[in-house]
Amino acid sequence: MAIEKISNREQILIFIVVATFVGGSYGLFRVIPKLKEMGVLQETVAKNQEKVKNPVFPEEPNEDIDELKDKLAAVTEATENTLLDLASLEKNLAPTNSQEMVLKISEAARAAGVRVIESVPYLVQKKDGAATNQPAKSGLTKRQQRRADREARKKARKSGGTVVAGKIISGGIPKEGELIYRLVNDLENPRPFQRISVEGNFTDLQKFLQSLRSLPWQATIVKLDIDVAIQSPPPGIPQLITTKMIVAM
Amino acid sequence: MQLNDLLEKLPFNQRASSVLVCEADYTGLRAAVVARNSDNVAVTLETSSDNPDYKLAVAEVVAYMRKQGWTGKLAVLLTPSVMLAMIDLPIPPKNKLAPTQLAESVNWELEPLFAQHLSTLSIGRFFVLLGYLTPEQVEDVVSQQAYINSSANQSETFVYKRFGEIAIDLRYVTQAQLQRGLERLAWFQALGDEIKCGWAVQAASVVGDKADNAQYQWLACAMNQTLLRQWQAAFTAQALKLENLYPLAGCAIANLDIAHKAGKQQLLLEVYDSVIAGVQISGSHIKNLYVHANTLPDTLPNLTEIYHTLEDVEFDTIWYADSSARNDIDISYTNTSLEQLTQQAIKTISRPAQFVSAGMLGAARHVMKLKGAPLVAGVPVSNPQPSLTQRLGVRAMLGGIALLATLGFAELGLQVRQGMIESENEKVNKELKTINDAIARLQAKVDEVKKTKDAIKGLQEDKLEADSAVSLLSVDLPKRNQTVISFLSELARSVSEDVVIDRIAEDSIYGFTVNAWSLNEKSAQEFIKTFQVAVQPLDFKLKDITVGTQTGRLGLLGYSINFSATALDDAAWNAVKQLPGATVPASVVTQPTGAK
Repeated sequence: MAIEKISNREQILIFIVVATFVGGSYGLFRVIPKLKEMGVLQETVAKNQEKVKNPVFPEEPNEDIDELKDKLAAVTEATENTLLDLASLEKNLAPTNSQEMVLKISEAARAAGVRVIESVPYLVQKKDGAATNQPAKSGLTKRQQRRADREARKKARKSGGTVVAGKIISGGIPKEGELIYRLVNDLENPRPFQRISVEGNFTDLQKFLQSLRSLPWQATIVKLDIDVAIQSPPPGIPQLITTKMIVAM
Repeated sequence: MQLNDLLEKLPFNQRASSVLVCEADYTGLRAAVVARNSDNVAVTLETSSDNPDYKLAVAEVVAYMRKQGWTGKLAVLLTPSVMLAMIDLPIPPKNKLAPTQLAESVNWELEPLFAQHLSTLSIGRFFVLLGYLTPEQVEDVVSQQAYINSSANQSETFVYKRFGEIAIDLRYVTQAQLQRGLERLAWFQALGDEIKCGWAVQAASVVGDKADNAQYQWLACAMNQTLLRQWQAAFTAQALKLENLYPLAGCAIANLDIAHKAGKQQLLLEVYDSVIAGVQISGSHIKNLYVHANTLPDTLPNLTEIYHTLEDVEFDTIWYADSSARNDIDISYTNTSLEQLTQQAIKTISRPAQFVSAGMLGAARHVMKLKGAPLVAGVPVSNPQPSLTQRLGVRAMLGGIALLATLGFAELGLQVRQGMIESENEKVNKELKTINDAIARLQAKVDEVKKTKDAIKGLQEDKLEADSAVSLLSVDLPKRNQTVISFLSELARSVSEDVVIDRIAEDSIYGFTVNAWSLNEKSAQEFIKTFQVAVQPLDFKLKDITVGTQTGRLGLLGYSINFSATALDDAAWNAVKQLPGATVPASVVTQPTGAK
């Protein structure tokens, strides 16, 4: 056969070619990927060795966890107590959007002998811009709402005052440090405000202010302006004064 | 050990486990199945045939062996047609010559010797060996033939008389005897000059001083190619491969337990009916070889002649292998005669079996490449194959193995390296895990502390807010109402009959601004002073006090009174006055506490 006559030189050449192909294929498809894989592994090992040599331990806290837990329990208890106190105090506040409180004020004014010129909700904005003292959605129908307003006006007239139904005065954003600011922002449920203008003599006004303290719910005068009427009263008649006040209910 | 020797020992390269060994001489064909038994051989079957047609004789013995269950495929033949001789060649044992080149060199040396060998295969001697003629009758026939042919050559009609015709004319043999004799002779003598050789190097035997002129002893054998093909055809017809043909005498040496001690001299005397051989063994190689034609009556003289040829050599051992057809008494007599001749004990090699000679076992050892094989030479039937390392297939296999080994080493290196990296990785990961566990424990502690602190802080903030709300609802709001009432009450008490209040305005930061009018300046100052003292318990201070003339109600000339009642301290008051509209920090806007 011709294949048996291949010379030594040709045999060596064939071997070199075959060896090159086999070796090349082995190197290309086996050695190089394997070396790459080992390189990645070695890199990981080096990184881990570095981490082992220079471990980064978080700073151990100086506080004793048991002490902190005790403190937490104490603070929790104190907070709960305070919240209980707060809840108890909030029971002295009038329900929000309650017309009953407005009525009680009107009755107090009538009893004190001052005439209510104006009694309107006073809208104050919280520091984040949210409005408080929004008119309540009482769940009444329009007809029921009109009837309720009419009853309120009637009662107000009987008490000698005037109620401007549906009118809302916007007080803007209070300044930090004002009492209104605290009433709006420091309480979980911002208190509603009512701007009330009354007319009467000074003694009656004092009576009215005193009577506010004896209402079933807490009412606080957060702003007070008093003007004396320009016309002098006839002799023997006390001077009439007009008082505008903002009452937090 | 050479690579070739290693390759020869490979399992797939091993020879057959059993071989049919045939021995042909003028009287017939003997055959035996010799099986390999580890490093030795054993006769398992034997038979013989005296059929004058050796092709049929081969068929008969093979049929017998097959019938006995032998299933081998290999056969060798010992025949007197094969010539054996020692020759000197300038070719070292380790050479790079191709087998064909080596065959040419051996042929060149053997051709003259082979012509001499043919004379031992003459028809006259053949007929003597068959017992048809006596040596004297042969001489008579030869002389008659010479005379008849020379006188006939002078006549006009020349008719050449052949040996057989003259022997018949002289009534020495019958026509049937002649026919039978010629039929047998056709398997031992043939026309044609082409010979085929076989050889075995006797490595250590170097003749000559200089390396350039060095001659190396080779044990060589040769056979007529026509006869070789004839025998090959006879065996092929029986589905057997005839591997080698061996000389009748010269193969028994393979059976000897030859010590490899250098310089040890041994002599083997091998006797057959037609031939006798003396082999001088020096160490583990054949030193000299003497082959003589023999007739049974001349056996002892021939042996004596060979021994005297080597008389100068002092033999350590003399072996005697008699494979002739003589009886044991004759063999024993010859043995005794040899001991008397050599003055030393003769080691006799008896026939292994009835039809098996020591030479047949030696040939079997050679073809099976067992111990003693290098001392035997046979004529290969197939063309000589290059050494294993020179065969393309073997080279390809070795190249492949080398390539695979290289790849294996490379792969091993990769695996070792990867193993080291993985081991290191495992070790580092273990250490890292320990550290990470410690870090995790510490971090958990830190997190728990932070969480607890955050919770405390959050609760404290909630509490602050709640406190603030509580303070607002429980303290500040009630106090505010009281402050307003007290402020107005104090104002009412401070006002005299000469003073009227025009306006009271409250700013949530500044406090109250009071505008009043007094009939006279003294009353104004008294009012201010009284009021200032009155509101002091309420933590109010009067600021920006102004008293100036102003026409009052009813057109009366009087004094205007303006001042602010504030709960701010001086610094805060100045700050808000300088920057109107600025936000006053809650800390400085203190609610008056005096209204008690």
